[in-house]
Amino acid sequence: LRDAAATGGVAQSLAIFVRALRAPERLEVDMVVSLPAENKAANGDKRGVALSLKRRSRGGGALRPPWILLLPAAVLYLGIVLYPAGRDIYESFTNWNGISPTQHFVGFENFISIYNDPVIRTAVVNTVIIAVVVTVMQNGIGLLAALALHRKLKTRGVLRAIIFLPAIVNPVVIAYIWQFIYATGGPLDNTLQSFHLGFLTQDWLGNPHEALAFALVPMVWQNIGYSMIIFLAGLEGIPPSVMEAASLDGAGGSKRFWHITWPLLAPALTINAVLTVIGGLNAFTMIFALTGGGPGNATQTVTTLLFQNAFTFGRYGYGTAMACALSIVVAAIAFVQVKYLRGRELAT
Amino acid sequence: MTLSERTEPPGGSDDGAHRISRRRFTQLLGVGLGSAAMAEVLAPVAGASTRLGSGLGLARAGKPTLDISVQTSDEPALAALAKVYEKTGAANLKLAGISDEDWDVVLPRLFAAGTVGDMALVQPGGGTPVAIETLAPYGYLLDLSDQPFVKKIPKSVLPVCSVGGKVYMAPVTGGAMVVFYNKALFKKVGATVPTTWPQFLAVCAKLKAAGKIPIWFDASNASNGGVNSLFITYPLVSATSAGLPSFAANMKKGKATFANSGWVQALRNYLLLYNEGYYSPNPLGGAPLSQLANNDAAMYCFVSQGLATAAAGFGMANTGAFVMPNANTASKVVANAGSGAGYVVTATTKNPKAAKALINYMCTMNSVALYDRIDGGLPLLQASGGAVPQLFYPNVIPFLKAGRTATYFDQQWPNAQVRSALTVGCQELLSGQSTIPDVLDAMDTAYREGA
Repeated sequence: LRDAAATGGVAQSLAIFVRALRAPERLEVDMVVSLPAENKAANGDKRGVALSLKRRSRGGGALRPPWILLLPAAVLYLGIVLYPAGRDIYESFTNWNGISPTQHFVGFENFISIYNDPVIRTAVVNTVIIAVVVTVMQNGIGLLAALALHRKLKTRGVLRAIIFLPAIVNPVVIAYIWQFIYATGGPLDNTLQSFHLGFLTQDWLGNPHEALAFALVPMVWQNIGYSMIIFLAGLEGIPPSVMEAASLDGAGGSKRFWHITWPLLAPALTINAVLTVIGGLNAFTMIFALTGGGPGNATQTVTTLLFQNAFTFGRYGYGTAMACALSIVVAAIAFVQVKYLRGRELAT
Repeated sequence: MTLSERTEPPGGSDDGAHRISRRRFTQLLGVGLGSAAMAEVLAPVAGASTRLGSGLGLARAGKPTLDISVQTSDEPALAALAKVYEKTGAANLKLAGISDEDWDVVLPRLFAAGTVGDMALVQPGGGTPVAIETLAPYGYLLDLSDQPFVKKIPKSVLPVCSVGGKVYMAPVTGGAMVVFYNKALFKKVGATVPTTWPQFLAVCAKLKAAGKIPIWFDASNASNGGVNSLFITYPLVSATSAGLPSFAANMKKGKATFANSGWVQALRNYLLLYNEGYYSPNPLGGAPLSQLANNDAAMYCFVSQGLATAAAGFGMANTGAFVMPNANTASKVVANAGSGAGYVVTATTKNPKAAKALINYMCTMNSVALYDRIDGGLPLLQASGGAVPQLFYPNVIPFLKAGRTATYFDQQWPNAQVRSALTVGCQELLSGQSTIPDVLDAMDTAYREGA
């Protein structure tokens, strides 16, 4: 064990873990750690590390993993995620109205009806706009904030907290705050007027052509902190020695960013990009609380539309069909995105 | 006994030898987490057990407990009634409040799950997931046709309390769409309560000229899901042929359409008020209620149950109400009124006798008066004659007594899509995205889908 522990950080961590688990008076632990190079040569293991942990009782039998500890989480996952998801998939093939004790199987009828829905086109376009804008803006501003606050500033802790603060507030509360800000004669109008920019005031959330754009502002604003934190974690992982070496070689700030920082932030970008695209495609709470999909259907998204169908119109089967279709699309996009971004990570 | 107390020897701690073993700790942890997980999973069942246990406990004492699912906005009125009823010793009432926003979503689930309780507050007629026309066909409601309170229901209201000729709902409270107004502001601009449409427009013009907002109006979805449009359009339709019971009957038979009805003129008047600048500025973006409290807005169109909001803005003594004068002659003005939400007895009740007794008690004169006083409703039940609402609705009660009313329209529609088509259409009219014929066509399409 001591020999293995001396081989590197992974082994040390594992040794600590094993020590914590082991009952000294009853158990013995054998651990074999292969270094990446050796392991790659011997087994072709791409991850480069192979660990073998055997835990024996005094009787000599191999100790099995404590599967019982999985039970609470497994029960919860089964009851709260898998079972409802399975039910939803089934209900998407029925005409259930949410009240009837019986459900009639209607095949793909609900899925076909989605294409004929008069509002679906608007909802899909809005959903895509939200996903794209949120992904670009939230990550762009989040990255800038992370770069700015990665420097040694006295106030950086406070500034990080201020930027992250909206992320921990319930989106409904954020929506109400922004409703107040956008209200006719509200803080935004008054501020503009005080700067003699009264001609810019307008019906912020009441104009069907611009309501979505203004609804996007609080959506991006609230979650900049999330992106910033993930980028900051990525920045913390860049060895200062690399940056120092680049500086000594005469690389300026721009070159250091594009040739060192940006490539090494690839994992953080992958996480941020995937999370924001999924979040954007599933955007519901902010839109629902801020505009309710209106005026008219101007800010309707796929999620607000499916909620309306399921719970307001009592078209539960149809609503769940929309939810299933959206899930498939989101999963497909996320899969492609991860594959592309992971490829970029490996390339760097 | 704590874990350490149990494992520490009397002579003090023997480091290592007598502490709880890791295996034992793991077992205890597993049991603890497992129990917690099971508690989570079985929470609904546990809730049902608690409810059942409570009822059984009281039943042993000879006094049943009635569980009632109620909308939170009606909860204070029902709680006041429950307090009085429990003193009679007939039953204990246990209220389960469901927020107004969640009512349409949660209540149908409770019915489907069989956990709704003995009684529930539901909507009359059809058109919503919690309306009796939606619930009764699945056998969720008890037939109350033989109960004494049925004789008190006015003929105009009886259809929305019935499904297939059987009465399922007690319309404990009624309502009317009224125009609340700021008495002081009216006096200041020299306006009196209008009784005709031209007079109403003249009052609006006076208020506007005085720099006031004539009608507070928030047409956004953020406020009540956009239903504020209904409180203006329904009264405007009521005096037209589309407000007659025969129109609703013809719609059901497919012999009438919205597109060729009084709805056309009503929506024109709805737009007229907007184009003249009589609504709150930018109504689609939302209008703050502070416009009422700051004496900026003079009128507030809502159902009578909105009295509390109006009074909070204008001040109780400064609040008046009148029926929207929707005709050119006062004698032809018709109020839009109908049953508010009402109570049903669920088919799963274990105490049908006690539930029926309570529902009859709810329909007595004193009960209705008490309920309406808190709820802001109007006494619809005949012979109930609550005195208090008269204080606030002297201009409204005569319409009810004379039967000059048109029933709330959405209660006569087959699904919720028709109302949604109207509210969305009203927003699109204000934003210039749609036309009156398009809006009415959308309503006709939605109606046909549910017919």
